[in-house]
Amino acid sequence: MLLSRIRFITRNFYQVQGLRMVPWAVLILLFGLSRWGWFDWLPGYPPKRPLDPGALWVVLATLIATAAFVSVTRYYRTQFGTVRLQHGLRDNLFILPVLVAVTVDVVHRPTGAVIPAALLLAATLLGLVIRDGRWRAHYAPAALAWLGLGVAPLAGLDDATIGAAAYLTGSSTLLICGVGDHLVMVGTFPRSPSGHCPTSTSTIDAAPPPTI
Amino acid sequence: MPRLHLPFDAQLAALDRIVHEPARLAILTALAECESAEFRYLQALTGLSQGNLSMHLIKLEAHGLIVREKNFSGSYPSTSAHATDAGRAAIARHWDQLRTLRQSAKKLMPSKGTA
Repeated sequence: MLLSRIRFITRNFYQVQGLRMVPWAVLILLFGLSRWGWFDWLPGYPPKRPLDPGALWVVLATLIATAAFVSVTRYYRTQFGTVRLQHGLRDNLFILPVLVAVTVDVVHRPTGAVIPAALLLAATLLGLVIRDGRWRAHYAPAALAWLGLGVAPLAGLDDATIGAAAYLTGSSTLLICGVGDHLVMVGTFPRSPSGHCPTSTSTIDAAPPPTI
Repeated sequence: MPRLHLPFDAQLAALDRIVHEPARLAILTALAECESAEFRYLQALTGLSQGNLSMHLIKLEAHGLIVREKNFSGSYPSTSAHATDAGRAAIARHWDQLRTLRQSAKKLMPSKGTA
């Protein structure tokens, strides 16, 4: 087992519990599909105002995603226990400006040659790939997808297409990064005690002292 | 000829065997990266049985490298462990020693084309 992998998994213990992202990926995908009218057959959907009865479908979907998130979190706790991190909050503060930029972009929808929030997301994902190396290599395709989306207005794509692409990119990012993180995490843990290299019988302890 | 290997052997002998044992190295490496970790995490990480892991933790604790804590999560008892300052220093020192050993080993290797 690679010790660098143990360090990475321990330091990012809650980030690499990637299956927790899958319910949110599905939720974002469903929201994207609803923009194309996939769920117009639902009674009252889409809601015209936030308090319309049709908004209950959105609430229901969000509740189901939250329940799935809680269940997956419980699975990780049961399987792998818990770790108290040293600088958990400080290490993740970089995400704050990204979230602010995305929120500003979504609320104000600035019209320009590029989409700043998408480019910022691409840069953040790329930064994680550079920081964590091969353990986060699966973030690279997501970074490229956001980069492409960030410069999409240059290609003359209309707002509706870019909006749909944003949902698709957001969903696939969570899915690819989440499942990739999960695979890196479970790959760190041995399948059975007998099939793993660290054993109770130490080869180092048992070896005769070196001749000097 | 043995004199040529003296520094390398000396470095090898200087390795702390308490730290260098594979399972304990994995445990200490993990604990050095966090504030504390549950017994279950360490067990999943090392693949050791409960008894073996306990033995390693007791050994590390006896050398002052970690501290075990028994507490309750809800109504369930749980054991966690954290690395002491000495433990963190020991693992950092161990990494330095391994790095030096690696460099020494490279020097001892015959260069290509000279064999």
